[in-house]
Amino acid sequence: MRIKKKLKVTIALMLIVALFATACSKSNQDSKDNSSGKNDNKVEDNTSNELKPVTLEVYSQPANFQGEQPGWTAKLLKEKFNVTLSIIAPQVSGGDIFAARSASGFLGDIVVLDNADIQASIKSGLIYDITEEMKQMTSFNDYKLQLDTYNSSLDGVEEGTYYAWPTEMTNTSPTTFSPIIPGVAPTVPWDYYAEIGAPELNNLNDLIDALAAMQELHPTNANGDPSYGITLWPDWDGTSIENVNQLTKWYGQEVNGSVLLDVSGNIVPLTDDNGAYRKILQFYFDANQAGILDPDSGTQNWDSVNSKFNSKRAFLIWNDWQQGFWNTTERGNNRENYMMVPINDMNLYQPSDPFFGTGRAFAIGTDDPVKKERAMMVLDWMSSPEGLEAIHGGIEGFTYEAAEDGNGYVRTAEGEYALMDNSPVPEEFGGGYYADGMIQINQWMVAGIATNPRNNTSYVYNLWPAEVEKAKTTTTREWSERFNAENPVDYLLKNNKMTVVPYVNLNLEPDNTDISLIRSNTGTLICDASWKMIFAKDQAEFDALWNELKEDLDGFDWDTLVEFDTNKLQKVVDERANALSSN
Amino acid sequence: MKFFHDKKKMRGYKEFLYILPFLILVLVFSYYPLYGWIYAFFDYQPPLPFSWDSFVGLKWFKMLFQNKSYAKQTLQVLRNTFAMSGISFFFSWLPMFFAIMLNEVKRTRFRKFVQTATTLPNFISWVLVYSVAFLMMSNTGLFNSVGMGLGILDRPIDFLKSNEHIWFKMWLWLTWKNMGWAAIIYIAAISGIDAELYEAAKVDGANRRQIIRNITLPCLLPTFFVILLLNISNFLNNGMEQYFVFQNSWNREHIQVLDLYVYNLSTSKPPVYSVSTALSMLKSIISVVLLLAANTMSKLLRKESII
Amino acid sequence: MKRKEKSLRADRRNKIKENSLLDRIYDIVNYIILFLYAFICIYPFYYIFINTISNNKISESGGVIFYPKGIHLQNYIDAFRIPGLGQATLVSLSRTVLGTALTVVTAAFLGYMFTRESMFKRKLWYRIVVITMYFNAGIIPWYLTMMNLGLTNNFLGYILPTIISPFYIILTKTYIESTPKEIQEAAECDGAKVLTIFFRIMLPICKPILATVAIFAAVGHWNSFQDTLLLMTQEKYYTLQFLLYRYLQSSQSLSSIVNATAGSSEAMLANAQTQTSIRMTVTIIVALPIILVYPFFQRFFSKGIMLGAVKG
Repeated sequence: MRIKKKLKVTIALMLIVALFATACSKSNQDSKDNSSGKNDNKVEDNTSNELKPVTLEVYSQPANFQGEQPGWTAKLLKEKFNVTLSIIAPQVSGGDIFAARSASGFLGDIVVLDNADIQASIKSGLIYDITEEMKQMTSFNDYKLQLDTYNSSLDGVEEGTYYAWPTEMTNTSPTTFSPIIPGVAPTVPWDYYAEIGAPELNNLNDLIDALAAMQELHPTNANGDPSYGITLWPDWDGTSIENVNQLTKWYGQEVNGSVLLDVSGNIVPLTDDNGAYRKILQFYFDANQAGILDPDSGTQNWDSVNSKFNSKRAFLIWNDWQQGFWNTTERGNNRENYMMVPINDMNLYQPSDPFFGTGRAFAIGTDDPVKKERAMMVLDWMSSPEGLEAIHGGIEGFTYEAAEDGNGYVRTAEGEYALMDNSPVPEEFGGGYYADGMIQINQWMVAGIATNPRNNTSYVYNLWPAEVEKAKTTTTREWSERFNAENPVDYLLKNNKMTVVPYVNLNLEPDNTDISLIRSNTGTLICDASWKMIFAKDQAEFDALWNELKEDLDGFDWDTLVEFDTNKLQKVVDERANALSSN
Repeated sequence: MKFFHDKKKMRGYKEFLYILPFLILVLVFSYYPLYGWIYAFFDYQPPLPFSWDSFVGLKWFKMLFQNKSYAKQTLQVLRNTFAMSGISFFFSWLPMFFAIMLNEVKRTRFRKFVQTATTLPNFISWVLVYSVAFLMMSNTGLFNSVGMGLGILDRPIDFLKSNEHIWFKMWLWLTWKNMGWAAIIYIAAISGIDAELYEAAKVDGANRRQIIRNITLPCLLPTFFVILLLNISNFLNNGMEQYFVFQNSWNREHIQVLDLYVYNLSTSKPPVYSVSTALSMLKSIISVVLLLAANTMSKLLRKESII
Repeated sequence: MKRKEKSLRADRRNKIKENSLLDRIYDIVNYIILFLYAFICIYPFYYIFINTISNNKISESGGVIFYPKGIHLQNYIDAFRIPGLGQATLVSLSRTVLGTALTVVTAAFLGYMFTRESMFKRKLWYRIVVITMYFNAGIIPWYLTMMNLGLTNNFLGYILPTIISPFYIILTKTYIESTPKEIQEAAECDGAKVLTIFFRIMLPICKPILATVAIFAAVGHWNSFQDTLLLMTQEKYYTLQFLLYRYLQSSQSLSSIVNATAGSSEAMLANAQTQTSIRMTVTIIVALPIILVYPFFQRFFSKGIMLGAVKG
């Protein structure tokens, strides 16, 4: 009996040790296989024999993925540079990792940070001078103006040195707007709009009437689930309601922290009685009074909203990318797609192409010569036309190919669904799955709408001539007829309903702890009051809540915050005036 | 006599040596990192390096009460925390009661079934709990659809926006999720009671109530008091996740407990690391004080020290 | 004498009869309450499960309530396609087994040692250990400590910090204190040394509480991924929970990227992932092993362990 027991214990212990051992040793074998996903393919060792394998840690603020880069991008990087990327994402592991790693003195071999953090990292010695290396980059001359502007605006660096490469620059101009759909605009289902007579919309009240008419004809979607004119969600709220922030752009103002910035460069506090923030709150309030606002708006999360957009249970959408929820070529030919409908009193605040970058930058965080050199190789590729074609276009021969008329590229049949379906990628291109294999740093050195010097079209597919042709459906044709324009941006520019505001990329003053606290506390107050106002019983309660909000904000030092933001954004206003006058 | 004395002392030292390695582990992983509390007295802004110039003393501690609005908010948060912890404390005997009830079940299979079943909610994360709650309680959710369908309701009730009885509702959710899991401790304790005591009592003709009152309960009381003591010292720690998923603009004034408040502050951009360190340090100190105070009370009232 | 015995016996019989009726009522009420509570605990779990095997579109709009509709296993197939799952499961298993074993032994040992009154400054050390439950020094010092000890990208980083858990030590100590002291004293009289008593006597006696600690510790290790997030950047150290968490996170970004493209196939959309359906699938995948292993621990909770221990 005792022997049996001892035997059991010994076996158990041996098992534990065996598990332990395999866990650590199998790892070495697996780490090679992992880079190409679950498929057991042997990566062809085309790497030049001089380059040793190197793993680069990439600290990327916008990344949603933490771990080793998988899939077809990993294969490309391994073949060209024998490099494996290990991505660290604060969005996944929590914001505290930034404090922890910077305190330890090493953030990452490559870092992608907000401007303010780039500035601070230079001061703390976390990122290094790369002047010589940058001058040798393939695309350096194409973007020299922007690189100079950015790097000379950094504090505490010698003149003429380069530390960082701004993200998503373009080579168009600071005053053009390349896409054919505006960033934010009222967008409704075309068939419903036509059904109610395709009326002229003069102001927001007309929009509410139109949505109410649609809801009456279609109280449920095809499945029988209730549908509403407007649906909102609170999970993207920051220091004010995001759903309101987006719509203030319809009336020429943009929310930025505690103030509103308008197209002519005026800055007013968010709580201005005549400002767009209050106007849009009023709009949502009226919508609720008219019965077209989804009552779950204040408590649902993005997940639920996702499914509502997917099944045509909400009629009004506004962001350009929201069209992807429902619009398809097939539905387009059935007139069911969502299209922009203009409101006559609106003046869209549309930032131009991010010529100078979008507010973050790539930098090098290591001074180990081997790693530094390899990191620069990767950055060079990522900003070269060849690399950008891969990053924005996908895999040649799998997701895209040359267009018939030779003018640029066109998506293949697989390419149209590869992202949506996360299709498996053939072995020859690296195996794994398409969406998983895209570069997970989640930020690019050059924007998709920039022009590819190799074929003079954009890098991203939706502006390729062949694709633009493909996107023309019954819906777009009817729309063009009704509104007498090629596409929404064309209409807006022709009829003066949009102002293109130059996109400037400046290193603005970061919040100190005191301001940060004020912002946090006042932000909660604003969000809570805003939601209550939208769902207020009547106009009297609406107004009372607004006034109460202003009083409460005073108790938390609101004026100090407004002053801080106003001074901070004055620089932006000045720079914009500069950009306009020099163009 | 001397020899005996020395032997005991020697044994005492020997026993100390046995636990020394563990004490070292504790020192290294729990005490050494406490140097980080120093950030609470400075204005530390990562990634800028720490500098002695940024000394601010007790600024972050005083911040909570610096003006009328802050004080009001802090008191509101504390009120919520005390209410939630108070209700939990008041009902802290429930897991023990449940374990006893479970013990009374004679059919082993049913007992094991109930025991396993009641631990299931523990594995559902709060985020998922809210998703499920939302599916049931939203305006188009299960409750409202059924209610409207049966004619009980003519307008859907907005359960989630309600600001009433928040503390009670949150306590219900918490009990549902935790009670089965917490009862495990008591179930283990019950199975450790000498079965002969039960036999003897039954022979003496004791009925069920008497057995529970005179045998089961007294044997469980030491465990219960330890758990109670720990609950007292955890008075300020309600956890963040549960309240985070259920919070919205309508119920915030009643649902925001201290842990949630600290979390909301720490997710501001840029993160105010010094402030969250200061607040967490404050909570640690208060918890330890509560622990020692409750222990002293126990010594006075029950003549037994718990730790 | 006889009359007294008779009346005593009669009394007892009456009492037993009374007891039977009350007993039965009590039993029934007990069963009902327990059954209801068990039901409200199981139903949400069942609800989650049927939603993971139902058509995702119907599931999202709340249509799946009592039975699955449009049964498919795509959610699970997609989850099992996650690369590196095998390795991660192995890491999770190793960590759970090794970590739990060490935690249980440590809790038992320290719990026992702290009951020995002869120990030099016993109360002081006990309190020093217990109050660390409330310490949270902040992430920077913790990360730096781990880095300096070489525990980043190291399997031991999962184990070492978790070995000593004050809560479990308190549990075992309380349990040991409620066992009769005679057992230990008898062993000492027989000349047994501290360690012998520990392995031969205390461990077997404490089986119920050790099973409890084992369950808690095992579930803790199995479910944790925060330490992976902060300490490990190499694939080979990723745990199962971490991979699943990452899968959940990246689906969120995937759905936003996807919605930025036009052109989608409706059939795929019906079974396309949403965050909630992924969350539900992940919950089932993670909870199922524990539920299957749990009954194994339950047998430690049977009575009779202490039967006759003192007498013998």
